[in-house]
Amino acid sequence: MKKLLILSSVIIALAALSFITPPDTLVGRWQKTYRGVTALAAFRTNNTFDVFMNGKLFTSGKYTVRQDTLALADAGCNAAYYGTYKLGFFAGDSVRFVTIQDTCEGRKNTMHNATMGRVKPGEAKAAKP
Amino acid sequence: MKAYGYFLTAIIVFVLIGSAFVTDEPTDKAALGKRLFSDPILSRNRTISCATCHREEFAFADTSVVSVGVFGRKGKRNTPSAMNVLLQSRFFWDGRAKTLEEQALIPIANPDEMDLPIDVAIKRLNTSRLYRAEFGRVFGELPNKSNVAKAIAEFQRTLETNESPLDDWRMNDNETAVSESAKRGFALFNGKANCIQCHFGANFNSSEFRNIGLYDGKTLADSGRAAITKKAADLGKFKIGPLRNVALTAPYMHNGMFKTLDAVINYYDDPDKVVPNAINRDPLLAKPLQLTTQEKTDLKNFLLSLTDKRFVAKVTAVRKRS
Repeated sequence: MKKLLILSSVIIALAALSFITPPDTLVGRWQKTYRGVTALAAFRTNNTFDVFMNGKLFTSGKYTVRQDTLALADAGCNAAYYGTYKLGFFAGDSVRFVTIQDTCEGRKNTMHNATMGRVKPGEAKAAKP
Repeated sequence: MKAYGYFLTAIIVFVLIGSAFVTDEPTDKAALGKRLFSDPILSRNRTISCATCHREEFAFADTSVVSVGVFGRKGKRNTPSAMNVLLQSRFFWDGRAKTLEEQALIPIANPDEMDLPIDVAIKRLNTSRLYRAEFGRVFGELPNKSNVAKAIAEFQRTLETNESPLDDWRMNDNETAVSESAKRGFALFNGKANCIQCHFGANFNSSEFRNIGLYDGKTLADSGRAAITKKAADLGKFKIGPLRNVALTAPYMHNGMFKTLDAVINYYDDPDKVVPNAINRDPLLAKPLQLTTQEKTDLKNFLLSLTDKRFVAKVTAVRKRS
């Protein structure tokens, strides 16, 4: 009886764990289409990222994420300057960027309040127009 | 009954001949624009088309310093590539056209290029049974200034390239798509050489105009953007050229003064050595870059990696020559 109780507890615990959502991560590919232009951002595990427009490399840089804050720098602005954005993951497959601080106006105008949807594996190629 | 047989035969022959033409008929604006782009009907003496100077094998650019128009007349500036214009916002070296549609008609009327007033060009197209039918099918109306511009512009919008080795490297994380030298060149482009300050974006150009030091008011006297804006600050400024497929679009700069990418890189390395008394040169080029020979090679290999795969055979030949 005791063994059955332990076994039941383990099964219940495992079942509960299986419902816990893995932590949100920016690593991966994110995409958004606006006015006929498809923007795709690739955030890699080595803390580098690229942004593509219609399948063309647009800019490259480095980034870090601490809790809900993204810091990123790219050569188009200043490779040594990191703008910061609050990350808001929602709907299970989307992210919103809200400016905390960024003196690079071009980047800020593009990113502030922008949302992107996660690209599922194998879809990146199809995303190219 | 015999007459009916002749009539039936005539109908069948007519349909068969007609269907032979149908296979080549443009079905949309871009296809119609492609036909117009390559048709010398739009030049005064019917010898020059857009494609005469925007040659597909050279990424829709030309190999001459300046292109030759009707009656052997020479243009005043180097022919830019007609590719990768979808995301651009100003056209011509001096940015005189704000839209592709506006741009599409200007070379037709330019006396040094096709020298055909637009009204005359429209009349010509309207005398063509073929074009009357095609415009009717695509636009639902006869050829006019607006739909001719739309068709040519729409064709140009199809000339996008996004399958260069660089794109392959970055998009697909394919580390073998470009050489280690090209990767170092990419880092230089974004770093020490500082090319990224002007050549930024999907086509490696921004919408800005810059004076790179090719104006001295004497031997180099093209005032560029200033002729359009009438502002002294724009003296010697030109549109920043996109770099996709740049290996194929020599010679370089608005005046075609550099025959090779090596010459371009050497110029940027130390502009004063080539044009010592430049007026209004951009402060970004105030100091020599002091690139080493290896760094120059790396930069060049990076630029070569911007060539789309549709042109790979061509760029291989370029490499063999250099």
